Amino acid sequence: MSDRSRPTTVRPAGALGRRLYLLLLGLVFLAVFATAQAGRDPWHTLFVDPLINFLVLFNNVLLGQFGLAIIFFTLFMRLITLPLTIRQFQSTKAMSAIQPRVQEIQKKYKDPKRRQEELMKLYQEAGVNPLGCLMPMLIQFPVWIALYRALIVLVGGVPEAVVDLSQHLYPWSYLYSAIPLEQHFLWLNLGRPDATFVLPILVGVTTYLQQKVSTAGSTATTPEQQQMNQTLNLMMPLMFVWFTLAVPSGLGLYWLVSNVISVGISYFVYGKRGIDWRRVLLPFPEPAATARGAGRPTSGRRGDHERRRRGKR
Amino acid sequence: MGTILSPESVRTAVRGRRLWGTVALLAGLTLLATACAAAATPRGWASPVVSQGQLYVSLEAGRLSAYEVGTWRFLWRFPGQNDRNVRPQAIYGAPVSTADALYFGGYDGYVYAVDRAQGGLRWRFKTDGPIVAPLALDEASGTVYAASDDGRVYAFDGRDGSLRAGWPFRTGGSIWARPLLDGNTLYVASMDGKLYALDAASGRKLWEVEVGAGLVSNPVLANGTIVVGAVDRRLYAVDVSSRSLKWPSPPRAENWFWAEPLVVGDTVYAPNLDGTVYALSLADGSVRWTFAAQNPVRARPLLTGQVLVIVDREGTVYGLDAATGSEAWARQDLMRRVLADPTPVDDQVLIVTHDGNVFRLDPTSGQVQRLDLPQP
Repeated sequence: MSDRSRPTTVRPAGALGRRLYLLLLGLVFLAVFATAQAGRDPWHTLFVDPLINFLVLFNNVLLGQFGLAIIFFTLFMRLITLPLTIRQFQSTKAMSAIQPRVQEIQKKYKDPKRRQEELMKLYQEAGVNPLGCLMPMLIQFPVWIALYRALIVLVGGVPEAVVDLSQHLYPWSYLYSAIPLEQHFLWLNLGRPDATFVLPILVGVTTYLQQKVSTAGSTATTPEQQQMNQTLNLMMPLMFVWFTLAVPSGLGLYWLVSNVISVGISYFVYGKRGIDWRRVLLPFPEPAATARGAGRPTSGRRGDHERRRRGKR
Repeated sequence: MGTILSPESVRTAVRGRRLWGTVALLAGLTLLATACAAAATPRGWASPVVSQGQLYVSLEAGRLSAYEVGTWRFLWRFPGQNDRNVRPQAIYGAPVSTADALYFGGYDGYVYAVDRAQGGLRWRFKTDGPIVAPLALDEASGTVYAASDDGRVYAFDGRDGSLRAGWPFRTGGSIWARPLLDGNTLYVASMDGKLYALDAASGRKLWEVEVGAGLVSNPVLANGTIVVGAVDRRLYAVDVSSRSLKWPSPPRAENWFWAEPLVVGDTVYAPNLDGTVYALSLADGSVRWTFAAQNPVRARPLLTGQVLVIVDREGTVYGLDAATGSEAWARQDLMRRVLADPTPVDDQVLIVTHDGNVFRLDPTSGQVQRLDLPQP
């Protein structure tokens, strides 16, 4: 029996978890307020600057290899946000598992109020929060924007960027010893786009894999959704190839490492059998899937599992 | 005749519109993110140079233009249309000039020699790193000294660009500060935290002083003392005769001393990236007065008469009484980023902004006027 045919439930955050979230949120608001009162920019003081200094610290610990610092720092940041990422993937997986039943309810009940009640009942039974995959993503979002800004400040390497960097570094002589940061790593100049096209292609391929693998737990329920997924699966990698061709390759390196980690996490969450590698590697699902109509799984082995499951019922 | 739309065709149309909407959104996001991330391109901050009635200024990244001072007639621009493979990327150091040639370093790593009359390329020499430091020139021997981000100091014959025997000299870090020539000695401030004294002819190391933090500002020599700023937020003074640090407790600021200090008599004027301008005693480094600018200051201060002209990073221009540090006239706002050093021209001061605009400042009244230089 495949992992997909088993009903998946996500352990709710619980009262303690909710209190922890609220406490964290309260502390962040307090810090933002205090920083603003002190006449400083809260965004940079609380989010971007600590990341910049941490990244420079990594650089010094790793013997001045800024490329290695980006790799290890990305690993570190992904590790910190791992519980949220896993929760997000689990929620996606759980939501996907109950999609056939959601479809049934939507077909069965025409009255919106009744339909909503039945859906809520279903979510409660399955222990799924429909916004469960959204919250962890929202919480991580500022972290990734701050990380992105920190990298932009650091990877430039040009003197103008170093003048800007001077405004962000903490007064710790250990950090200064790294200036200017070593911009060469493997074949890359981290401050410039990769002219060899190797990094953009790697980023494109890993973005494609990451897109496909991270949505392995979700199922397109309508042809529109399926078409949208297909478009995204092709557009996102192309978009990132374009980004990597245009921005300093230090950012490209960050995307590459981040994508590889995301694929790893997806593999960990969905399990060996949870990922249909044939589906992952094919850019388009089998055409028959669309003809089967809404509410049915999209393709291949997953479709077979679903049919068997329905047959048993 | 009207067209009857089937429900299927309506659904297809809606689907198509959504799809194209998604594609357009992604394309927009791509452009936006690319624009945001493309901030780290080198622009250069070479200060303008006036020599023999001509102004040499970099108004665009990697280009040098020549104008006739006074009439502001355009003379030439380098690289010209015929120099297709010449792309200096950005010019950070002010050019140095002889009677018939100009020399400067490019961020592409080349040292360029340009014909002064026509603006044509005479020769160029590739170093192994970008050149940020201004060059130094020994007019007597015709030697051009260039320090590169590759950590080496090169000495060339200014006529043909051939490397002098015994050069380059290698330091342990990048060099972003101008080599300082004094007689037969060339002083080099390196990011490896050392100040080197080299024999200007042979490139042999004479001595070195360990400062301990990367030296970032152009060093200045006055009364046997070299003053130089470091990234550990301190300003150091090295006594050349005793080859040791002079000040017992080097003044410490909130940020780096990147601007080239100005030494007049026994006073050192040193702006800092924390926005403070320090007036210090050359003898012991004690603070005489400070002035708080609104923004970080990277440009070198300039003394005209008794007025010390300071330009901060965001383009605010201050005129300070050099003796007390009080403001001599109301500050002017150029509303543009300024990283290049101001340059005196006759009785005025030229300020080049980072976006390639040129302003004329009257240092006695503080009046600022934009100078519209003709473009080729």
